[in-house]
Amino acid sequence: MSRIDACLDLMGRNGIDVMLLGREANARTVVDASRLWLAGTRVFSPACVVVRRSRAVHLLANTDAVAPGLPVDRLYGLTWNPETLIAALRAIDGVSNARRVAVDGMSPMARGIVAQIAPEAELVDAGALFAALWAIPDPEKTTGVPRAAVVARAGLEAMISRLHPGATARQLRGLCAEAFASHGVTTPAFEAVAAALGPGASTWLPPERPLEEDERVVLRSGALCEGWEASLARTYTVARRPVPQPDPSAWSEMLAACTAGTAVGDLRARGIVYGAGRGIEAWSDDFALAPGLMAAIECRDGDTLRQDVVRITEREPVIVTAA
Amino acid sequence: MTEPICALDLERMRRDRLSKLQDAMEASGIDTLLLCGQQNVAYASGARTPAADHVRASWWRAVVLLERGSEWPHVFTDFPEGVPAELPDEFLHRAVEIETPAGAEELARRAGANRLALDDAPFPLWAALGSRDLADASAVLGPAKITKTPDELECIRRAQSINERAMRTVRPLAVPGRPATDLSGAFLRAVAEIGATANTVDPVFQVMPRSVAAGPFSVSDEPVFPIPTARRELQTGDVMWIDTGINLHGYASDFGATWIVGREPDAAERDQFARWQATVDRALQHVQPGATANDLVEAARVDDDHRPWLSYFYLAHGIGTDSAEMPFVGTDLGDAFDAALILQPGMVLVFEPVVWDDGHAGHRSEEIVAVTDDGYVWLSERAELDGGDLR
Repeated sequence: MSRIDACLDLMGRNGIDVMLLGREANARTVVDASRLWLAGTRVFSPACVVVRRSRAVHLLANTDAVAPGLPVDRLYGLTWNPETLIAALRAIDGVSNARRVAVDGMSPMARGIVAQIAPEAELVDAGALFAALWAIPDPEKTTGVPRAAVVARAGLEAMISRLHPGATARQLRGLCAEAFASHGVTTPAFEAVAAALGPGASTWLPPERPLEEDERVVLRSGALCEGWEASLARTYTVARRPVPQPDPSAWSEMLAACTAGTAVGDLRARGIVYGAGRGIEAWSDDFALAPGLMAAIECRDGDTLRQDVVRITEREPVIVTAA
Repeated sequence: MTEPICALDLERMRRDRLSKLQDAMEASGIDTLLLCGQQNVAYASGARTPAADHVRASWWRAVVLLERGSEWPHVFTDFPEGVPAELPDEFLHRAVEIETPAGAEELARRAGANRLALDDAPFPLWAALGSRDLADASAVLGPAKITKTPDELECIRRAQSINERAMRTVRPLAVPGRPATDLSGAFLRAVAEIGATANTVDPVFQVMPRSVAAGPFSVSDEPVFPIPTARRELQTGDVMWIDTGINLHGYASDFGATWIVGREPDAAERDQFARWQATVDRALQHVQPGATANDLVEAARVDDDHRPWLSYFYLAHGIGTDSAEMPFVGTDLGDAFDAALILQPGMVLVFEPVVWDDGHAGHRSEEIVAVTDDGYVWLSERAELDGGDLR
């Protein structure tokens, strides 16, 4: 079953007539959209519509160049005028009389707009549907995440190559982005980090000061490539020849536990776990790993931190972000 | 070179913003302001989170609760090192996961029962706030943000300056045979090194078609822009439209230019640039307090009925913690909207008209000014033909 078929199937099982989606990862999931990437959270606005009855996806875009294969009559154009947006959405067959509409965010202002688009509709959370959809093993994910992993890995290696005394986190971040671009990828999962591994630090917001000889730092690299994400982190000490640090003590145990059937809650006793693919794919503690899924796992002890993306199999996990 | 607006004082800037928010809460009768959008969180608190794709950013978001009359906002974050040092400890809290029902309910409880304004919420938070009568936070943020303090203007000017300096390293790379995505890489490296807090938008280096019909399908029969940069080798004579933006201390830049690849601009391209510049100059003659957005639109118009900009964008837009924010000038919101928008000191205008000669492509650049007491001041360098001395 294709991803959109699986999506429509889930909509049917949950009685959802229409989805109004603001999150780009959700639009990427239903239509392979590649609209302009922006950093950070976005205000909810219905920028992608899925209608169960017509099995059609409609996209806020001025061109099908950002959604190859989408019929152009399913595009609705950029506008600043809420009335124009409301009219465009009401004109989509099956929207204005929808009884149950799933949304992936909301604001008081958007609520007024949605009420005019689908006046009778009960609003429900699209998040649960996408969590279920992303948990279905997907051959495109199985090939897409490793492609992103190659790019993320190249970024990390560019940072390692210049992890010299006096280097700054900014220089390393720039090198990582440049390495991504040499693979044709200009969008990160997050801006690369070279941060001290001190107590209390999140390891995500690096200091402005130059790095010092023998200082222990976490290097993090994450790429977003054709809608798929992969990320990894390693610990090194700063030197003319940067020195990789041993894995955290719980790493091998955590890795070995990443097998089909393991409950995510059991892994969380050892470190951070979430689904990899569209970004952070949230898994509940009782979610059981299944073959074909991709898990981001991260382990930290006092001195060292490691993060990888692994593919779950019936047997041992495969590290997708390994060299 | 643009001139500094003031000696930048970030703590003063944050204090002034809080004071404006408090005034707006008072004026609109809002008791509690709940902010989940990261640009709004940054505005109210100065809190920084890692720059990330939106899914991660949503999970990693910091949240602000500001009570009317309170000197400080409550900040909930997993990134305490990103919070300004002056925030008292009792206002700094561990993050609440508002993407989950449990976290959302916790925050809803913290928000209290008074008149609440909210900017944007993941659905679990929306559900947790249930049947409450919520005001849109734009009632508070709009009046506060529409004019900028001198410190805010200086942040925008510096952000723009970083963006422009980075472009000086990129322009020589725009040569035949080079993949356009290499330009993005060089740009991202340069802005990181020069001092950007973060990059905010996938850099756009878009090769334009000669005519709309020769380009991708367009819903409005106009040139389609922006499209994410393709990994395509540049060719001699390519007309490339550039659009980039970075973040400095929470403020956005916006750089737009048109470059010709591998040869000097021809007579038609020079003429397009001249017409583009004349459009901005006609509008600039009216930029002063008391003028309306409609005055700028009328001045920029050509031959009474032609509006030389993309109908789905604008003649000009504001910029601040968002890369496009109020004031909007010449949008599809219509003439009445433009007529009601009156320029005030501290407003910022990013002019981005487009001159398009179908069959011969066109010119698009961007220039930024701030409205002063008696006119305007430049926050960007003036645009130059084909990057001017950037070459």
